[in-house]
Amino acid sequence: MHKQTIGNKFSGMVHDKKVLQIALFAFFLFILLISVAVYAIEPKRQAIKVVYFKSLSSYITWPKTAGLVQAMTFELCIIGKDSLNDYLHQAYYNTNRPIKKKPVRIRQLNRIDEVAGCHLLFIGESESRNVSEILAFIKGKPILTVGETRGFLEKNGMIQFYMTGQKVKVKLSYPAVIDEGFIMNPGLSSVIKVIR
Amino acid sequence: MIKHAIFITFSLNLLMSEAVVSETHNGKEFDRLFEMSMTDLVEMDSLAQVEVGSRGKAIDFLQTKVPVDVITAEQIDRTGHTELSRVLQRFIPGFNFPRPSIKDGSDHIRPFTLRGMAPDQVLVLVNGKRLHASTLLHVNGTIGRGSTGVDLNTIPLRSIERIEVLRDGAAAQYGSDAIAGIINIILKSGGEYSRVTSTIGQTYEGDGELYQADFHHATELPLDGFFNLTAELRDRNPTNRAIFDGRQQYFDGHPGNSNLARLTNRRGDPDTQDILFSLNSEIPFSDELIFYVHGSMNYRHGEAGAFFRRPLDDRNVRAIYPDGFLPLIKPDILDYSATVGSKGKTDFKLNWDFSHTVGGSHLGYDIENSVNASLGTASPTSFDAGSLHFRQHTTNLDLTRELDAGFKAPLRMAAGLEWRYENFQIRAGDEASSVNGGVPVLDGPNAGNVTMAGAQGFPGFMPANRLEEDRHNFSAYIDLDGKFDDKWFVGAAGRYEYYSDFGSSLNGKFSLAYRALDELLLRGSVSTGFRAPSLQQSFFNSTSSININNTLTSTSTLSVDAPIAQALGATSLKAEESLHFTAGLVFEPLSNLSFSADYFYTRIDNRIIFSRNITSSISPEIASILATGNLSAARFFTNAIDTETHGFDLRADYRLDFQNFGELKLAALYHYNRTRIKGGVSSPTILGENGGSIIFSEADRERLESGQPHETLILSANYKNGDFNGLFKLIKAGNFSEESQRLGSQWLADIDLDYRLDKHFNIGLGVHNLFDSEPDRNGQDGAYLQSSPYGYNGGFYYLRLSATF
Repeated sequence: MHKQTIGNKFSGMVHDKKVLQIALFAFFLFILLISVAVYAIEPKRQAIKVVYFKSLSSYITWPKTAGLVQAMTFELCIIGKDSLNDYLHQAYYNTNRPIKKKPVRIRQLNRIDEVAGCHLLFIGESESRNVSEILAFIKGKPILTVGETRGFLEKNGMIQFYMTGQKVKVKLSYPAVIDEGFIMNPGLSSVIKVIR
Repeated sequence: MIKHAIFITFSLNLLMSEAVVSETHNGKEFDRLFEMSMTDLVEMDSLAQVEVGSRGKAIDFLQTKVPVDVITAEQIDRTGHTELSRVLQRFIPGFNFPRPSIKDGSDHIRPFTLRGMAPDQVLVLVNGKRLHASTLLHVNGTIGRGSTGVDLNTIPLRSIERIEVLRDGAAAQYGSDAIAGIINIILKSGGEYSRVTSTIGQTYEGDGELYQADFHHATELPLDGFFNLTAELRDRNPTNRAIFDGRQQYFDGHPGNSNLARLTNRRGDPDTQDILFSLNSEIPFSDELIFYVHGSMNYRHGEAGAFFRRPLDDRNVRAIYPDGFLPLIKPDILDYSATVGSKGKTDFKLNWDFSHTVGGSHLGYDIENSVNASLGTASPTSFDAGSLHFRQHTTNLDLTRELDAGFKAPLRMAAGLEWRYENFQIRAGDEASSVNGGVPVLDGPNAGNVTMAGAQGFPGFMPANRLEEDRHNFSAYIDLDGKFDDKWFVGAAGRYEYYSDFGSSLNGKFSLAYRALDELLLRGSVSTGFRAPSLQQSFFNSTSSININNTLTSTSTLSVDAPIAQALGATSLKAEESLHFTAGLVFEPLSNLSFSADYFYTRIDNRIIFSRNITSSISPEIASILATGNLSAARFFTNAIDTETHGFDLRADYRLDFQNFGELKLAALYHYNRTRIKGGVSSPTILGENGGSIIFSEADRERLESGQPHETLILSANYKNGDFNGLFKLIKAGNFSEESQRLGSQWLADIDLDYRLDKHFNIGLGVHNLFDSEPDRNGQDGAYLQSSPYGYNGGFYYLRLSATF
C-alpha cells in the first residue's frame, strides 16, 4: 500500500472569530444577569419530594391516636439508605422549618421495629423488596406512609411519588388513608391523583 | 471590546450579587419551593436525569463524569418540528443534518452527524437498546458519503419522553459505533394522559406544505405498569429551489430553445408521506419481575427527482418524451424495531435485564417518468429498480449490583453479554430497469450510436448485484462506577467484541470527576473505541452503464471480496479504531446558573472510505483487470485514512423567575470542531504512487475536513407565564466548504408561541427561519449547495393544535 499526502487547499483557511466573540458576549451577558437574578433553577427530584412532605401534611389531619397535638415535634422517619436524608436535613432540620406547626425531628430507622412515635414514614427505593413487610408491620398504627417503589399503593401504602417526564407527581390511596383514621382535605383531590 | 465587556460584567457582578452568592444553593432552592403551592409543585420540572453513560442508575445530568445533553418532551413540543433529526439540530450545536437533494436514496433517508464525524460513528439507543442502522448506504456526494446511519425520523416525536446525547466516545461501554457519541431516546413511560396534536404549515414561498397529526394514548396497568401507543401521519409536499435551466434543450433550430426560463430540475425537500407507530409498555408480574416491550414502525413513501434529461439527450426516447423528462425516484421505505424483554431483582440484590431486539430497514426503489433508452420506444416508463434490506437481531443480558467496597457510596458494578446478528440483502429490480436492450439512438445527429442501458435516473439492481450476506458478533463487558468520597467519582469499563467477519476488538474507558467546590465539578475521560465495518460497506455492489467512444461499458461499485476488486487491491475491511480524550468542567456559581465547558479529542485510525472510480485509463494492467468484467471503472470501500477531530462545547443555562410575571429560561450553546486527515491516504499498490489521490479526491478531503460547519451557536430564550409559553431561538451555523468554495455562515431565527386555551386545548404558532435567511449559493451558477446545514427552503410558518385528555 502506498501512502500519499494530498495537498490541502483549505489548510490555510482563516477562522472566522466573530462567532466566538458572540459566544463570549453571550456568556458574559449571563454573568451580568446574575446580578439581578431571582433564584429559579430546576430543583432536583429529591428536593421536590421533601417539600411535598410539608405540603401534603397541610391537606391531611392525623388521627388523635397519633398524639400529634400533644407532641413536641413532628417525627419524620426514613427507612432505607436513600439520598433523601441529606435533603430532609437541609429543608427542615437546618432551617427549623415546621410541619403541622411542629419542629421537625428527622429519624433514620435501621429496623422497622424502631417506628414507634413516627408521624410520617418514608420508605425509600432501597427497601423495595421489604415494602410489603414494612407496611404490614405498621398496619393499624397512625403513621402516614410515603413511598416511591413500584406498586406502593397496591401494597396498602398511602402516598406514592412517581415521575411523569421531568415532573414529580403524587398519588394517594384514599382507602389506605381513611382506614388508619386520617382525614384528607377534599381539595387535595383536585391537585393530585386520589385513588378511591 | 471584549476585554472591556468582561471587566464591566465582572465588576457589576461583584458589586451587585455578593449577597446572592453567599447563600447556599439548596437553602435558596428550598425557600422558593416551600413558597410554592401544591398545584405549582406538581407541575414543576425537576432537574433532568440521564441513564446513558452510567449503567444501572440515572443521575442528574449536571453530575455526569462525561458531558451529556438532555432534551425533554416539552422542549421537543416547542420546536414546531415534526422530524427528530430537525429537533436535535435545534438543541445540539454539534449535530448536523443537511438536506441533500437529487442524491437518490439520500434524499429520503438523510444522513446526520455529530461533532463533525460520520453518520455511522454515532450509536443510537432506544430505552438503552441498540437501534439498527438504515439499509441505505450513502454513495453519492453527500455528507457521510460511504456510510450508513440510523434514520432518526422513523420515531414519532410524541412518543419521546426525553433524549440524552452523550458527547464522548463510549464504545468500551456500548460497543461499535459509539465514537462521536450516543443518542439515547427514552420513550414515555407511566403516562397518565392522552394527547392529539396536529400541525400544518408551509414555506414563505408557498410550497413544502406540511399536514401532520399524531395521537399518543397512555393506559395505566396494575403495579405501575403502563401501555403507551403513539401513531402519527405526516404528509410533506416538496419544495423546489432549483435555478432556471439555461442550457440548450432541443436540437438546433427548434423554437423551444428560445425559452431560457425553464425550471427543469427539482432541488429541495422530497415529497413524502409517513405513517409512524410507537409502542412502549411495562407489564409487571410481581415486584421483582417485569415484562416489557417497546418498538416503532415507520412506512415512508417518497418522491424526488433525478437530474432532468433534456429533449436532445441521447438518453431520451423522443417519441416518448418530446420535451424531455424528469425521472422520479419514488422509494418505499419500511423501518421497524421491536424489543421484548424482562427485568427484575434477585434475592442477592442483583438487578437483571434480558431482552431481544429485532430491527429492520427495507428500501425499495420505484422509478417513474423514466425510460430505458436501450429498449427504444418499447421501453416502459415505470420500473421496479430493486431493493435493499437490512435486518438486525440483538440479544442482551445486563446485570447490575451495588457492592460495598468501603467507599463513600456503594460501588456500582454492571456486566453483560450481547449477541448480534446482521443480514444485508440486495434484490434485483425488473429486467427492464437494468437491461441493455441494444436499441441505438433513434433520431437526431447521433442516430445509430449506442445509448445508455437501464432506467434513467436510477438504473436498477441487476441479477448479478443480488446478494445476501450476514454476520454475527458476541460481546462481553464490565462497567464499574464508584464514589470514593464526597469529592472523587470514578468509572472504569472494558468491553470485548468478536465479529465473525473481521475478528475481535478489546476496548477500555476510564473516567474521573472531582468536585473541587460545591459549585465546581471537574471531569474527564480517556477511552478507546471502534466501529465495525457495516455489511453494506463490505458487500454493496451496483452497476451502471456508460458510453465511452460509442462503446457501452459499465462502471461498478464492487464488494470487497469481488475478484476484480481483489485484483485491484481491495482487502477485507478492518474495524475503524478510535482513541478519545475529554476534559471539562461544570460550574454552578448560583442556583439559577449552570455553565459547562468540555474539550474533546478523537483520533480514528483506518477510517473506511468509498473510493473514487478506478478507471482503465490509469494503466494497462488496471484496464486488463477491468476488462474481465467489461468494466471501464470500478470502486470499492477501503480502510485508507487516519483522522483527528478535536473541539469543544460551551454551554450556559440561566433562569429568571419574575414571580407573578412568569419565568425566563435562557441558554447559550456553542460547539466547535475541526477534523484533519493525519498522514497520507493508503491505497492499493497497483494504483502506483498517485493512488491516494485516485481513490480519495480533493472533493473527498474537502467534504471530510471542511464540509460541515466547524462551529455552531444556539441562543435560546423561553418565557412562560401562566398559560403562555414563548420560545425564541437564534442559531448561527458556521461556514463550510463545498465544490471548492467556502460558504459563509448563516443566521437563523425561530419563534414558537403557545397558549393554553383551557384545561384540554393548546394552540401554537411558529416560524422557522423567521427572517428568511438563505445560505450562500454556488458562485458559478447560483445554485444552492447540498451541504447547507439547515437546507435552503427559507422561512416556514406553522399552526399547531393539541388536545390533552
